[in-house]
Amino acid sequence: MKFIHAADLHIESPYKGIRSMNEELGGALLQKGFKAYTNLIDSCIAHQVDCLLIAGDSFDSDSGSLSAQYSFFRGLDRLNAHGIHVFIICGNHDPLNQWAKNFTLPPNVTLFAANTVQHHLLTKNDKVVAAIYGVSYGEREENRRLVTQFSRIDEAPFAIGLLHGTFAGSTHQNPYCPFNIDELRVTKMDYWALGHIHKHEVVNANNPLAVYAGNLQGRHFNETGEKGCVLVEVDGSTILSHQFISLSEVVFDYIQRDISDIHDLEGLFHLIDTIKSDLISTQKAYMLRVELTGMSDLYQVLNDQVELDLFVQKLNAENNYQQNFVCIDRIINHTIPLIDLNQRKQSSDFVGDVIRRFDQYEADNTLLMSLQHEVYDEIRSSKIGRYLKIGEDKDELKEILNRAKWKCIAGMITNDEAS
Amino acid sequence: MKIDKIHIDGFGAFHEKEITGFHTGVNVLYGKNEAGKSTLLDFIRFTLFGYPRMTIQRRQPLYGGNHGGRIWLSTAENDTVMVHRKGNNNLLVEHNGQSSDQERNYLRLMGNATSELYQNVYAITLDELFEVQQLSDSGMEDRIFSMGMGLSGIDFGSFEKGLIEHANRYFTPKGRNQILSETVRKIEEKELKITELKQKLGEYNRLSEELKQFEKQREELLDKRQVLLRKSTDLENLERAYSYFVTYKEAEKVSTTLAPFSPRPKQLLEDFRQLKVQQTQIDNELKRLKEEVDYFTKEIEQLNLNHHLVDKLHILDYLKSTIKIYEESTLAIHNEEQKLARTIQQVKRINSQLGESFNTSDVVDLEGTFDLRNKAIETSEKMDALARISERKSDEINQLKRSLEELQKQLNELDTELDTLGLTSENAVQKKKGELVSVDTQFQQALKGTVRQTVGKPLVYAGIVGGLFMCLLSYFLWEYNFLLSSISGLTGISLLVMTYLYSPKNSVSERNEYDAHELNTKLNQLQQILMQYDRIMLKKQALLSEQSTLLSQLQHAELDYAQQTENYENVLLLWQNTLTSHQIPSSVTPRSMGDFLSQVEELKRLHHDQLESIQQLERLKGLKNEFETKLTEIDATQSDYSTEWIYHTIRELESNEKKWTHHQLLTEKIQHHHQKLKTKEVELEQIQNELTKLLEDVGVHTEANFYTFFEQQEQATLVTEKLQEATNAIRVICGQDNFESTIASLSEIQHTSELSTQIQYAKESYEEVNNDYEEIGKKIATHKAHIHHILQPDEMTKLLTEQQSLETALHEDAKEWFSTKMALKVLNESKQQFEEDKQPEVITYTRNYFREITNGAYSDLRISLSDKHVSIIDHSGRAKMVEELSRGTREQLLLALRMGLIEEYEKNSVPLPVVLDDVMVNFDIHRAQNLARSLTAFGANRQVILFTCHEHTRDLFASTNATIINW
Repeated sequence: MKFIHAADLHIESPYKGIRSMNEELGGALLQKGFKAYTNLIDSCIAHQVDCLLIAGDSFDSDSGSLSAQYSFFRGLDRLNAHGIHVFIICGNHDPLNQWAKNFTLPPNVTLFAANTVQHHLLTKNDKVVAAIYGVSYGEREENRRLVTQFSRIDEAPFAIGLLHGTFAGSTHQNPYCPFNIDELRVTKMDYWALGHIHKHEVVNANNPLAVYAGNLQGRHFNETGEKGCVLVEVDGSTILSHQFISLSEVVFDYIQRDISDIHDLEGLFHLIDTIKSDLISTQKAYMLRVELTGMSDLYQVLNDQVELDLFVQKLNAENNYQQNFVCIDRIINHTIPLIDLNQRKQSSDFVGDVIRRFDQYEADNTLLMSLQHEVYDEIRSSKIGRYLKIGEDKDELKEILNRAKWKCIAGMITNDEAS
Repeated sequence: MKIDKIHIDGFGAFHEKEITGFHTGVNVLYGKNEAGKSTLLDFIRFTLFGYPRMTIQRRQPLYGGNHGGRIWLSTAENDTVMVHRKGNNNLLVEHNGQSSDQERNYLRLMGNATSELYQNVYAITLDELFEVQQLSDSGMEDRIFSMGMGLSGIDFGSFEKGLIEHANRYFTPKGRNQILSETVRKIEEKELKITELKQKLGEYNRLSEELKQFEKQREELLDKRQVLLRKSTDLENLERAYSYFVTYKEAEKVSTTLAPFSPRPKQLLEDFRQLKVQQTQIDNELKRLKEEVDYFTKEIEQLNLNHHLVDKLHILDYLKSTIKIYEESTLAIHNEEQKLARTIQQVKRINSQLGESFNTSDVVDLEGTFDLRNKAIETSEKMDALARISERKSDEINQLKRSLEELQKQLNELDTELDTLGLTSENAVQKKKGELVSVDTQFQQALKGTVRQTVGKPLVYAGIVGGLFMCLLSYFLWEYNFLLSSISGLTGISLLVMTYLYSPKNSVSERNEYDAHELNTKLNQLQQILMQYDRIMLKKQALLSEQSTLLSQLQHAELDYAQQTENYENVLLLWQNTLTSHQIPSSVTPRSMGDFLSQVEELKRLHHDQLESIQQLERLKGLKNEFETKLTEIDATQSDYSTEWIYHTIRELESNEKKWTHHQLLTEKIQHHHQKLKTKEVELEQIQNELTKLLEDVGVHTEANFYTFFEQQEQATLVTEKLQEATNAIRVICGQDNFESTIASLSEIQHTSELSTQIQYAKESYEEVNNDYEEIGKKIATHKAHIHHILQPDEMTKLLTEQQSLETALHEDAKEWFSTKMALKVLNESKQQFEEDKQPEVITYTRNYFREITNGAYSDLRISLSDKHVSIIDHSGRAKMVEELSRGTREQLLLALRMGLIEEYEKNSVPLPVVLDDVMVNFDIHRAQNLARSLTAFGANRQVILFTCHEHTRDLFASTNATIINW
């Protein structure tokens, strides 16, 4: 018996936090996002699986996109044509009460109800090969320990638990439906198909095997690396193999490089362009953030956001979004300047005074917050203020302060000093 | 901190350059133009504060030496500090005897000053002043402000302005086109569209419900419509069926009037008719066949066939095909016989040439003629060669013999001469010689007394000449005949020796006894005899030698000749053997072998031709005989089978052959016709039987009755068909199961107009319901289209992504604005602080210095950093703007400002050497003197280093007791 375990499809969910967005890139990301779901359906058909398990969050009901649900159902229709069963539970993003009433599920699809764990049998050649246990979220927030409701009834040689929840110890921002290993073990399931965490992870290797499939396609830079599903092969009650299958068309990732030996933007351009060329050959699309480290001549230039944006635009100018591409979303400046600020601020001149003043703000949160408020007051009452949340994150505020400091230093210290 | 000494290892144009003599106070470094002031200034700055990062700015040594150098300094506490910095920024500091390479410790000593600070505060160059002069007036003010804050290289005002503009690009309180406002507007647009799209779900549900309602209504209307359609259709069907109904009724009526009969299949009638047709055809065929038979018979009679020739027709092909051959054979026989005769004659001729002993069969069998020919040629050549050699040898032998005869003859003649001389033997010769000697001696003796010399001289001369002659002869004969040459030589030598021995002194004594003249004469005679004898002997010897040679040659020649003869005979013998082995007559010589073989070849060819001719004749005669034999079969009586007769016979045969062929054909046809006649008669009989059967089947006896029966049957069938047809039509139109009801319904109708009225009514009702149905259908289609459109992949994801992206961009841009605003705020704070704390002191110092330098021309100075305003108050209290000042005064103001700044800076910092680079070039003499005084006072507790290339500047400062260093 073979099955594929997927979760957190988030069909047609938007991409977030992309700085270098444009019309073409947006279109390409949209297509590739949907392609990941198509890849899932194709994989089920290609591997001739007996069933597909979806552990929640098939789409984002928040987005209100009907076409997402419709696209999801069309994929299920394809599986129906190939006689592949689908077992679905709802998650926090697609709770049962948000499913469109007027979409009819194809006959091969079993949608688990909410509140109470149900089980359904999977047959093959008129023989029961597995029992699938699951429960959906009725509403968005589900904080109960639904895992405690699972209990194996020995009707089938292989038992699968389908759960959308948070493993103990996870730092997920929405720790819905929590559970731990012991609770999983007590249920006597052979395999736990888990959803909610967007990263593929084997939570427990055996007795039982508990796996987060991760999502199908990363949507922002907190979801880096390849995404996909898990293919599991079973013989009777024994798991023969389980392997991760990459389905994502776009990979989000960070690249770090030390640029101590690079002295001009041309050299930096060449370095990043080389990174792009190497990745293009891997036949996937990439969204990259490039983190630069080291002691560099270019620190001041890299601190100038306008210059940096122009640089990134130049890097992406030749991208062909119709095919695989490597898009540089932004460049993160973690380089260290050549100027020894500690030494510079010792002098009693104006520049030293300015540097010391910035240090005071950095050291004193209260002072910093008052500066932040002072600046924020200028914008708070405007409609822009409604959208801004600048300064709520202390690290971000310090980054802004540092940027301000370097603007002053760049303006006041000559090239001799800076070199 | 002050500089005590400078040592440059290698820096720019300097190599191993040392400058000493620095003191506290003003130090004037006087050097010509191009001496390297800026280079030295850079050296001081780089050594004290570090080399620039860019190699190109580091002033690499041009004339060798290690890049870098040392500066010795003294602190305020009189500590000695030696700073050794290399071009790669490696630092070594010695402070009070302690070495360290720690930059941090060193900088602490230097008050944490940096290169940029030093440049901005302590180093005042003419370039900087010049640059400031180039600025606009506002720029000048800005630069003054910058200088006031110790940022002399920076236009602080412009910098600050740039930050404000940058911030404003992102946001201003009332601005609408700024970056943040623009981004927010775009976000709002996206939100609106998202909201619209979110309403799609409700729309979808509403449309789905309505769609269900409409579909239900449509179902009901469909049923109603179908009923009405059915009714209308039924009525129409009745209308259509009405005519058939009438037909039906009529047919029904007729059928009742017809008598019953048992129908027979119509096929019988067809069969009957067909049989009749066949019968007629057969009759006609029979008639035709009989006529043809008669005709063929008559034709046969008319052929007039020659039966005799008919029997001989088998020969015709042969005759036709071989007549030509016969003719040609006849002619060829004649020719061939002639040819054979000629050949036989030629054979005879050649045989006769070859000889009777030579058998023709042998000739024919002779093989290897080619080898024989070659052998004959070879043998002939050998024989010829041998013959030539033999002949040559024979000639040679004869020649030698003749020579020998000649020699012998000459020898005989010589012997005769010797006889004549009486010197036939050796004794006689010796005797004569003795006599000569005796006479000579006598003569000499005779000559001794008187004519010694005259008597002996001719003899001596003769002896000498004779001896020389013989020696010469010997020399010439040396190559030709050794023996003769030797003899001649010996003879010549002998004569010379004798001449010498018997010279006139010896012969004179004897002459005394004899008559010298007589003796002389006798002597001469004896000498001549002996000379002659010698000559003869010489000649004889030569001849003998030659004879001997010739004899030897003759012997060799004879031997060769014998050998050649033997060789020739051997060749001849071989040839004979060859002839014998090939059975060729021995008379054939090698020379004649060619001809012989040619004849043999010819004979062979003729013999072959002869045989061929004979064979050919036999064949031709055979053909002729064969042909004539065939002719005899036709007419044995014919004696002469001429060509005309043969051709005539052939024609006759051909003609007969045609007739016979035709006869055969006709006969065959007649037979065939007879057969056909029989067949046809049989068929006719069969047909007649079948016809009879058919009549019996139908139950009639005659053909006419047969036809009548079927006519009646046809009529009945027609009526039945009509009835059936009407029934079928009615069933088709009104339904298979509705026949009775249709008949019943139609029976009630009086006229078709009744039906039309009912139909009209039904149609109208149907139309009404149909319209409602189509209306509902359109609504359903519209709803489905809307639903389909809603379900299409929409822009939602794209909008959400764009919204997210815009929010990210807004956030980033807001950060940029925030950072700029923060920078401005902090700068402002520092600026205000600076104005409060430091600026008053700086202004005070500056004012004082400016007053000093301008000698009181300007008494006050007002600078507001916050207001960015500078005004200078002259001695009369009038305020002037910077732009109203002259160039020199502006420079003086800038200098005063720097000096003020230094004063203020050093309140809390380690004093550093102040470096001025020829700053007084635009000062008049008075202002220069004022500055000199001010600088001297300024340098009271610090070190001031002034670079100049002007002598008057140097002298001016010299008069103020400044330290002058010429370098």
